[in-house]
Amino acid sequence: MRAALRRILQLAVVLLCVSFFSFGLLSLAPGDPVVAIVGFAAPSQLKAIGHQLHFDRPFLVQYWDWLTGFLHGNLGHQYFGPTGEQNVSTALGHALPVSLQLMAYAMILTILIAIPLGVLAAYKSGTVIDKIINTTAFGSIAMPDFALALVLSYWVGVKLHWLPSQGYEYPTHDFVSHLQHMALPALSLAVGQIAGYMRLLRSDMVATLQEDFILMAKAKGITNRRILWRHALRPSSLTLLTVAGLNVGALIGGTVVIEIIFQLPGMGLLLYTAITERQFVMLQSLVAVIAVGYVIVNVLIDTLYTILDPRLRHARAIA
Amino acid sequence: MVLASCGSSSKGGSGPTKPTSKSNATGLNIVPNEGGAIQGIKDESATKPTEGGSMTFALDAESTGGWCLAEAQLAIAGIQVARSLYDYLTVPDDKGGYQPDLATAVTPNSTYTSWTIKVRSGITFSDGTPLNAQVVADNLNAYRGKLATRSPLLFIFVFDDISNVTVVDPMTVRVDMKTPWASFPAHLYEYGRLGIMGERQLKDGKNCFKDMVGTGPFMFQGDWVPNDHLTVVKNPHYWRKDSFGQPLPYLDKITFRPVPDPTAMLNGFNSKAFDLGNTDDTTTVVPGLLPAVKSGAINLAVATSNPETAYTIFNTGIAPFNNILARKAFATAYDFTLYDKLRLDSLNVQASGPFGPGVLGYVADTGFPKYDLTAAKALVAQYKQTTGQDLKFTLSIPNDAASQQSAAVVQSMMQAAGMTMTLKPEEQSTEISDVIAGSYQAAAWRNHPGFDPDTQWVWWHCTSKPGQASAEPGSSAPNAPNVGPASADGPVGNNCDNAVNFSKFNDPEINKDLETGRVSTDPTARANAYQDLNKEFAKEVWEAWGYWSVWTMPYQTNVHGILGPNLPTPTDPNATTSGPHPYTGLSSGTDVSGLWKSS
Repeated sequence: MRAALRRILQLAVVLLCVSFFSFGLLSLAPGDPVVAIVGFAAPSQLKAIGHQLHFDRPFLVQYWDWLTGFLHGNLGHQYFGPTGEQNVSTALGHALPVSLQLMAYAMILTILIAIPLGVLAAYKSGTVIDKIINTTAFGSIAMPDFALALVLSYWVGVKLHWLPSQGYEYPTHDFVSHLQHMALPALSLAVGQIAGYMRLLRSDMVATLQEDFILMAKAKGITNRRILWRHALRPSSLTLLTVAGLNVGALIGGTVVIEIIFQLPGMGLLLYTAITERQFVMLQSLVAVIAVGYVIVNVLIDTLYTILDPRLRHARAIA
Repeated sequence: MVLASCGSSSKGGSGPTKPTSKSNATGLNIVPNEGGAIQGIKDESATKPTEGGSMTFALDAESTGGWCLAEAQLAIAGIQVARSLYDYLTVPDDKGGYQPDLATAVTPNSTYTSWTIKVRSGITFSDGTPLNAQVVADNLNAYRGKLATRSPLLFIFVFDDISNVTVVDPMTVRVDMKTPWASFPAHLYEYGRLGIMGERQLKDGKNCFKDMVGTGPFMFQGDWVPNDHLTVVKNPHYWRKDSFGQPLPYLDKITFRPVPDPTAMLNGFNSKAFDLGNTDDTTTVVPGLLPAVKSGAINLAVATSNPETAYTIFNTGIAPFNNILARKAFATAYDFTLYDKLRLDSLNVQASGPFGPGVLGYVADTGFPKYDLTAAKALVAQYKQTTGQDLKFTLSIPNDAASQQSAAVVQSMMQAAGMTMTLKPEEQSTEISDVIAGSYQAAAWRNHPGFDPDTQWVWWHCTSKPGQASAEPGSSAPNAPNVGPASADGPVGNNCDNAVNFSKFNDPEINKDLETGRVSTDPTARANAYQDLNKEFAKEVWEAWGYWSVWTMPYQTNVHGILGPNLPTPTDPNATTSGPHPYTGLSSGTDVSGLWKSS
């Protein structure tokens, strides 16, 4: 109970800090939001619309209005011309699933490839196979995901016509086409992560394989496969899990660029357009939603620690 | 109006040169000419179209304000969507005239101070309500700011000369004017922005932007995810048929996709993700597609007339461009040939004025200063002698990489002539707000699509008395008056009372020409007036004309019916082979009702 309260308090502090600073930064950004929303008009018309939309209020008043609204579940409005408005939750409802799908596919790809490679590299530590895997991983980490995305989009999408180079298909409409559209973006996002996770897992596994309990397992005649997957992998996954939680932020950052390159209508593209269109209220709410999501993911990962490592469970029980 | 997307559209001079055909490696003629035609389209009038299917239509931008037409300020991408959902009272034809569309007749009184619009009967909106005089009157009142539920911005200035809109009978509307207005039918189309909305949309306060109700060939059923796609579906009750008697439109569905990134658009066409699209990008998209066009893998329709003009807009209300010596120095220092080669793949032609080939008032040689480095240096020296100041100024440009690269080329040209040009890259909205507020000296700009020149009245006409200096924004001190030579009709000035004349010039010759063009019904008199206006612009160098932006439409080889069917006549709503032909420019998109796809 205390842990849950502590987490809620942490969430509140993070939300407050992130939202205040992002609101402050946005207010300093160049560009008139009224012009961005309505386009060409006489100066007097622009002034009147700015007043109508409360853009002429002091910074702290605008922030307080937004914060109280957000805490009551009102994410504010996205503006369309001088009279049109739509709740930000509508745009979020379209964008969030796309980004979550992209991140999920990237994570699935990462896990499916990084874990076997990491285990293999650890098992074959010091051999040619280990060196090949490591060198490839170095190369993958060194390559920015956007550069890979551009290469994949051009060669696989445009030149070879193997997969769509851009756009999005709803899974409910055509699931196969959906997977085809998500393949290159997910791969672009996953390659760097795969290399990082693989190297991390390899070094943890190498250390774990030196432990006494592994020696004991070998002495008992347990097969290598069982030792690797049942006894060594589990304790070696804790660092991986920590990094996975922290990496959610990097993953969100990566999706912004990847979604723009592949024209995916997710949170990244929405954030980008909110910035370019000076939709400050929407941008503020999106940043806050991401911050909340980030904290929640890390809380979940903390919880997973106790499941994966019985020692932590016992330590907490004793405490 | 939009900012010049490829950066500074500054100006040099090749004024006396008539635009000549400029062919690239494909042999495709892609520059504007006076032929008034469109290239890259085969005559398919004898082929019976296939019904059904769907297409993906790439657009170069999202319409972030939605489609509440009275309030929206649609660029070509938005107009293209609007043309699928709405019809207009009049539509332009290929001869530069306007044909009745939802109207069967638009008739003036003898003095052109009152126009009577007869509405076509038997047409319903996508929500099932009928088109009648009341809804037309409500639309016109919405556009001019006289309908309580709508808050138009620019249209208030456009329709300022309308005094009253009256419903005469269920299918007749009368529009009374404050002054004679002979070219009024052109404004009932207004570059494709003046669609007729259903009452439900007109009166839907906060949802007008997304509750599109029109009489067009397609209907909107709520599928719009901004910045991703907007889908329209076939209107089964559309009021037109083709010349074979088949109902229009042919397609079941069109998905419009905004693709602002030129590379993404190019990749989309090459990978066949897009069936067709609109672009004027001669930096990435068009040059990138030319090899495929040459090999026959893709088609490219090119509007060879009625272009839009890219230019540098001057603030003539403040120094240094309140001085004609500075404006001339800029114009003569600009080497368009070099700029075209370095930044536009030698695909564009220098503009001689605001009106491109095919537009009334077009003059091949307006007398606009030509590129002459020696003359430019002399003008810079003369400026210093007259004012005691070095010729220094700031050019506001969009902050994207392409614009900055283009502006750097212009900067080096100005430097060579002895000027100091500082670049001010900024967000597009900041640049626009600076220009609106008059907080700029010069800025990269694009405007004036090729339609009736009277539609440009809103940007240039002043009613205040010229010849007096205006004050710097935010300062009580008056500026130096314009020191250029006076117009034949009196001194020119920079105290325009028109809030959307962003250059702030007040030129009696231009005012007079605009008034003549608006009032006169004589085509020759109108042509003369707009040609005079064009020359006056050149003489005073009110703006630095850059180049005519070429609108193109890439389309896959199985896509047909790009320009749409022939136009209706007052008596026959359907397309006939003898009916008037549609407008051939692409700066307001195309009629999608005639699109069809072969297997």
